[in-house]
Amino acid sequence: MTADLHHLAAAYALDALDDVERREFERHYPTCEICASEVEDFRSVAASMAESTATKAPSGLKNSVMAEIAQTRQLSPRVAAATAPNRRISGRVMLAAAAALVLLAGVFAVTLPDKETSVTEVVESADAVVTTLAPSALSEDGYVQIVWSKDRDQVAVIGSSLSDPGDGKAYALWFLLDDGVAPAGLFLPTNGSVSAVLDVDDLDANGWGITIEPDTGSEQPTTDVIFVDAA
Amino acid sequence: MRDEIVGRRGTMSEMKLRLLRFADPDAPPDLGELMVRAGKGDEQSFGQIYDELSALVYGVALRVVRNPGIAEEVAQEAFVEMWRVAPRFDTTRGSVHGWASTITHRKAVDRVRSEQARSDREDRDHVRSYEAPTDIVIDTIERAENRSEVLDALDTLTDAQREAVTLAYFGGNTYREVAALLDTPEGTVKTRIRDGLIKLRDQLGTVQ
Repeated sequence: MTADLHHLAAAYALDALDDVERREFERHYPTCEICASEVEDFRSVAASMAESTATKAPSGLKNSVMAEIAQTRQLSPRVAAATAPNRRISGRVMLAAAAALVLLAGVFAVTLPDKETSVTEVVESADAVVTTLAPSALSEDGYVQIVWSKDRDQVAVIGSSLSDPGDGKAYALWFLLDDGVAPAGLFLPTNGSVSAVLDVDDLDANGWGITIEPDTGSEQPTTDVIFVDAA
Repeated sequence: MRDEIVGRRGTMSEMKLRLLRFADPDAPPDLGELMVRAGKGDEQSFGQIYDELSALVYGVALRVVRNPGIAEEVAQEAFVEMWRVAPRFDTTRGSVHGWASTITHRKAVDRVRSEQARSDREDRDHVRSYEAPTDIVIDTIERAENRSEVLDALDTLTDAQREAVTLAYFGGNTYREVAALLDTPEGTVKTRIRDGLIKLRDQLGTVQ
């Protein structure tokens, strides 16, 4: 399957994948340097082909467009923290430090993932920011990708080769903030894989961390972090 | 001037335009600047963007959906989407033209596929009557120079590659649908599309 995915960049750039493959490829290519660069190249080719079709637009179109945009709200701009998880301090250190701090006030209500919202919707949102987490020394292996849409206040968690967290436990995703951490939600892998959407608060996070927690949730990390931002 | 603005590669022509502005203080601001303003809700700047991109956007829509009325709707959807996401446009990452054509082509393809789902038979006739790939250019094209460059590049492909690429991009078909249309294995079609685009990329010099 993975080997196959590497050959889809061209068809993807031409919008010639069906929905299922498109979704799979959109999960894959941001993490694959070769595919990401091919998508960019092939999109340029597609753009050249597009330019070759240029045709004078009907005269009434502009007025309709201008009338509609006058009634259409624009997205909020992307904030810097959302695009650049650039902290050099490792998530592990931050989580440890955070545990010693007084954390955010308020009770963390745990919600297990909402199956109704599709991962694709989050991945395809215009403001989606993709972060690939690296396993820390403590975890065996596995792979987790976080796709965050601040517009939607949602995070898609996509992961594979995850070990079973154990009875009564779940994976917990944490926002890394300037002054500590905040819970983002819980998720449970099925056969080692997860593809879930979490509703999250609108926070200016610097990065992400994952620990294993009781499946009732925790207000702060109670175990060592097993996945952190690669940054 | 107009031809300068809407050259084959947005980045290149935008660069040219920036140079022109040194010579001509009355020249309009470049697309990147207009995008920044449009991103702050400036409708007038978006109107200027519309003027620069309308032939591209309408052309792509018409080429894929074929019907002028539907093409107009698709072009409008694409422009409204551009307006909506303008605050997120990153001028350092790719050209405005490339961005606009990606958005428009996706809208056009989405439209073709939903129409297809609704009226499968009619659409199938429509696709089958499509005679790839010699009529790749329609009459009302504005920019002959760019057109012939793309045509020249397409000419370097094998017939099979050209057919697969055009049925996919201009026909709005998935590679599986292309395979069915050509009665050719899917893997073969995937490879033809890929090899064709690699050759086009090299011919058009679009490597960044």
